[in-house]
Amino acid sequence: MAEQKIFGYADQFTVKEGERIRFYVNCDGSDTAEAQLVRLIHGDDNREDGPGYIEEEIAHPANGTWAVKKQFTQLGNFLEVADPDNRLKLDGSLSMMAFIWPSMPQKGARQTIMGRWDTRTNEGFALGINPEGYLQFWVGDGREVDYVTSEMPLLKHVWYAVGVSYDAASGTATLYQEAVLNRYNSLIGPAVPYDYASHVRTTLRFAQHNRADIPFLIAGARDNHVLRGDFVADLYAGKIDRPFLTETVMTRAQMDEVRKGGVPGRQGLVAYWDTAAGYSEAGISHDVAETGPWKLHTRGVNHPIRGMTGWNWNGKNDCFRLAPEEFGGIEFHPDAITDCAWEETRAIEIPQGLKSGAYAIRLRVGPGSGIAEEYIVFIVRPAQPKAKLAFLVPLASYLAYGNETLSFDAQIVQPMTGQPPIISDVEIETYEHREYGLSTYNHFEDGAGVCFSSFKRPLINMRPKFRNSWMGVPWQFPADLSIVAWIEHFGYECDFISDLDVHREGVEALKPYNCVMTGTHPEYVSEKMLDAQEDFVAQGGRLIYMGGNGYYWCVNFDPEENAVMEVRKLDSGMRAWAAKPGEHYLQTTGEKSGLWRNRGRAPQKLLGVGMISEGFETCEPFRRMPDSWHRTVSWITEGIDGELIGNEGLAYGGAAGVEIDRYDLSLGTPPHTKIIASSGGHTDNYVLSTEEILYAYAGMVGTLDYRIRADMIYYTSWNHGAVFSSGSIAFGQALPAKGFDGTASKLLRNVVDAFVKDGPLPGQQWTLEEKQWR
Amino acid sequence: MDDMPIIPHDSDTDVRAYFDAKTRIYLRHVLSDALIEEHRRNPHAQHRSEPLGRLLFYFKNLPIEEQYALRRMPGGSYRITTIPRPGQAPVEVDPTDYPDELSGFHGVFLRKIKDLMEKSDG
Repeated sequence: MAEQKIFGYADQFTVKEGERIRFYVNCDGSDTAEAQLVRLIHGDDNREDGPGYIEEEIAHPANGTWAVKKQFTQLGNFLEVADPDNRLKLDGSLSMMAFIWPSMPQKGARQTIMGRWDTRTNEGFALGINPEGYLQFWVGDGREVDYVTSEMPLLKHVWYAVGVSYDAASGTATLYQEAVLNRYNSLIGPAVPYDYASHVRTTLRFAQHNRADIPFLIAGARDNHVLRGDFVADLYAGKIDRPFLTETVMTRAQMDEVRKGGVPGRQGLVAYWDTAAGYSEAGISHDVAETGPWKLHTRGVNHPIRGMTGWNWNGKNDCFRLAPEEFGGIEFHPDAITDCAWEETRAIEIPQGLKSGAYAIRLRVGPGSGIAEEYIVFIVRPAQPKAKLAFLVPLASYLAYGNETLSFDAQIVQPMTGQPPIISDVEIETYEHREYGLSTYNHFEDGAGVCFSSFKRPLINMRPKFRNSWMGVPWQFPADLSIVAWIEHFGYECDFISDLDVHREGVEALKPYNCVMTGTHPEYVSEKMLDAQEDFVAQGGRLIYMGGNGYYWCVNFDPEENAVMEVRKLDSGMRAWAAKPGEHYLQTTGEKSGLWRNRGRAPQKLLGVGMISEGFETCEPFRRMPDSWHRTVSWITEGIDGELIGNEGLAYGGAAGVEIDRYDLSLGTPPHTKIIASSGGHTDNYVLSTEEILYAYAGMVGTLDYRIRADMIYYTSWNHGAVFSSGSIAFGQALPAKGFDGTASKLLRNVVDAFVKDGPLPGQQWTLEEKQWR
Repeated sequence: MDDMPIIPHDSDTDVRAYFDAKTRIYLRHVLSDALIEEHRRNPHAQHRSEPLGRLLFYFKNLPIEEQYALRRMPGGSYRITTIPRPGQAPVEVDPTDYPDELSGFHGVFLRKIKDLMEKSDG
């Protein structure tokens, strides 16, 4: 029997009572799976220091045996061209041309730049790159393939103008290959003495045979498998800019004109994809403008990256909004995936009255553990807000880390964490097969950073019980379940909403609540999310920031596909990759990505604290600071004996650590903010975050730099609003320790109890003068 | 140009090899039973000696191909494996079951000392 394994995803992350949610499941080794709706309460299976894993089985008509099957995933970016009238089915002479910037020309496998080609039957025509990295044009008659190949290999990360002219009458095929590199647009500059050009002519033995059903694709070609059916293979890695197709035999002079920036003549033009057209102040669509005579609808699959620097980028304009014509590059990656697009396995309705919370469909096959067990996680929102307290689930951050493989791919991880990774079977399985895509902490096979992440695919680390391998403790969703368990333990009525809900609905999603709590590491936020939370606080809402390194990266959810989040990492910040020059702007909004701090919205302005260090490996307790005894805030530490807070926890035994934030007036911490407690004495594995560094010097480490600490802060806002920040990822995981009776838990109870009540906050009776006292 | 490679040799690796070889000479010189015992007592201790600190720095910065992982076993123990590579499952390098993470970390430390001593290039 084949090894039994099961993976799945849902079409939504949050769903309300009465709504339907659809599930998509891929299973090997079984045609049935046992399904059970569960409410997730605690995600860390560590029973020595905490309550262990807790779930509640929920009665539901969908529980029981589900029919499941093997499903296949189309990996890779390409452009689909809708050509119902077969306008691109050119049976005679033709020419094709494009600007290309190959990122893996010597890939060892054929890559198709564009064409109408069937890999299985050897039919059609295509322009591409052969496995050795040479430009090639080939035709097939359904039996054999004939081709013409360039004499000079393509260099990676260099812009070329490439093309082919094919005279069907004579069988003559002529390749065109010229570099168009300038001082900015390529990896190497004009000083490199390389022979880029190649112009090869040959007579092909036969002409193309075009079957009617073969699609014209850009960056891929049709293939077929007996079990899988049709799919796209021969995927291209790199950028393509303004490809076109004619039914004429273009001369070298005509191609030279295009190489110099001319637009191909209309005579004989069949299709021209103006990849730089249609850009707006609000971003770029996934539809690519085809401006030839037939206006064929063309759309990117799996989010090809738009707005990238094109062949004619000259280094002056740093954004596609400033000079769209210089940003016609579309970047393709053979290992990209933003939608598995599987057949639906089952849809279920969320019953009225189901308690708001974190839920999953638990699926088990065979042994029912490890890779034979799947939890498809989703959040149930109430149909109408019910509670005074809301837990704001940071989906964007879950997506950013979704399926990260830092332990396996990132040399930097062990220096950062200070320890070897602790790996699990599910990671090994998915890493080996790599069909569920990557995180924004990964690089594609060609070395480019991943800027899109989606929940329309299995996410092996967005599930309970998962332990982050490079740290050995839960991270993101399973870590946030420690907060959920704390809410459950103390019986708070709480509505669950996601940051995607806030992104869509704005402050209206938050207004019903007196108090909103975040997750442990809400690192990725959009402008809409920030605006909503800032307005919420200013209008009298109370925000509890339960994390560390929060509100750090500027992101967006794709307006055309809300399951997909986009980020570009650049310039500074603790980052897994760096976007190339000129590619720092989100294609889905047109705004600059990178750190919010570098856009004038440092996290300190809303949260009072912002990222200062990360070190993992160990955690420390907080120690009360002088402000905490002030009469306006002493209620926060009421009932806590001694000066230490959070000397316990499921993340390395302390409430302060993993990633930590600091109060900093120079970055916008509200001037009246009080530091309730701070940590210190972190190990030298805790280093100053890079955005803090102007000049680097020795000693920017935990035991030598006083700035490396977590600050727990509190400040008040208009209309009885307030913000409490823990400033530490580990704080949330400290809550379940000692039977939920540790000092971190006691302190948070004081804060939540005060924040959920209507009216003035404790400490507000003091005079303005007293409030100013420090 | 005939002398222009398509995929250039990265001469930076030559410099690193020289640097690492010099580092290994120092590390072999300071390696001792006392240093190993210092690590065994607490693999995470902050106040470690300079030789142990430098040894751990060298180990942490090794290429991925020379690193190890702990694999969580069904019974709750840990075993040392290579780091998985694309398309390749991890290879178990030691059948020892380590009862907890810290003892496993020390096991990895001992494995890296073995590799250090077996390096033939300095």
